[in-house]
Amino acid sequence: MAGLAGIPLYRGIGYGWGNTLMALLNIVCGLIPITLYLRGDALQELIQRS
Amino acid sequence: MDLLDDVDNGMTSSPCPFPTETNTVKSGFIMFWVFLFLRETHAPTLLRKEAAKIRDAIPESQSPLEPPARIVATKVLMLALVRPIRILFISPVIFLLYLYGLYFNFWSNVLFTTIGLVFQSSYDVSTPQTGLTYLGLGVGGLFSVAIFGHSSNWIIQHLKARSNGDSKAHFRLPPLLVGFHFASVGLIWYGWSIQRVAYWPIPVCGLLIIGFGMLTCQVDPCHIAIERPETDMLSLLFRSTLSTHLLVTQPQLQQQMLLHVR
Repeated sequence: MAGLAGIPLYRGIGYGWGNTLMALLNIVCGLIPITLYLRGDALQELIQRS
Repeated sequence: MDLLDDVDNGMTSSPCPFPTETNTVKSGFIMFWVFLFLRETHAPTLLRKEAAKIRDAIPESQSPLEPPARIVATKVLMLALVRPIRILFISPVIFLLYLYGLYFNFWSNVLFTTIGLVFQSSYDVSTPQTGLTYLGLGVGGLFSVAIFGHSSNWIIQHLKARSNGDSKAHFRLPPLLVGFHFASVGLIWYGWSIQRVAYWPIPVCGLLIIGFGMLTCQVDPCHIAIERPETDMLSLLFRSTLSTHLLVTQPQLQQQMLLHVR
């Protein structure tokens, strides 16, 4: 259903800001794999201990 | 943005030359050939075949192997459905990666389904011509496969050697960490060049960068799926089939939904 959001998004804030918003959210979400890569071992240990 | 308004009002000024039916037939045709040439890689099935071969080779009276157990279809289906879902919610690592995958699919679907409309609304191109803009994504993807397809194994060997031969699932992540930066830069590039109606190769170049980042991100979950096959295969399958069909039906769906909203 995600594709349905595209046109309202672009109509609302235009192509420039619409795509910039998606890119910024992408960077925010990118923190997840970064954290997993850097702290993956610690997280695994934490889970196994609890 | 006239064209976007038209779609919003439930009518397109330039009707798509390929209706949904044609697309469905095409995807069905491709699926048929894929299944014809697909290699069997499901481990239990391979093992079962191997066992059957050995069983056939030795005479039945001397066979130390037990006769094959009957496979109950519902049991197999339940196992395939329940286990990945359980691991999804039990393992925080898988759940976090799933969240990332969710957003990745969101923006890639938004992009895929709007490229055509966006180019038609900003440039003087016909619907079939906008199909060519997808080549930007494709070429970017090719670069990604050429670079990371080859270096992926090397990266893992390198990381393995650094941690004294220990192999970890997150060693598969480095390409993704590179890929999502490219995708973000490409999105900003593409968005603003379209907004300013720049010379057409410039947004296509943006698409090339997006394609590069996108495929680099996408190759990764596949590799993690190799490491933890039971967790990801189902979601990959669901995702690919669902998103394909959403893409095919999207324009019609969109018109229908917006008609109902108004």
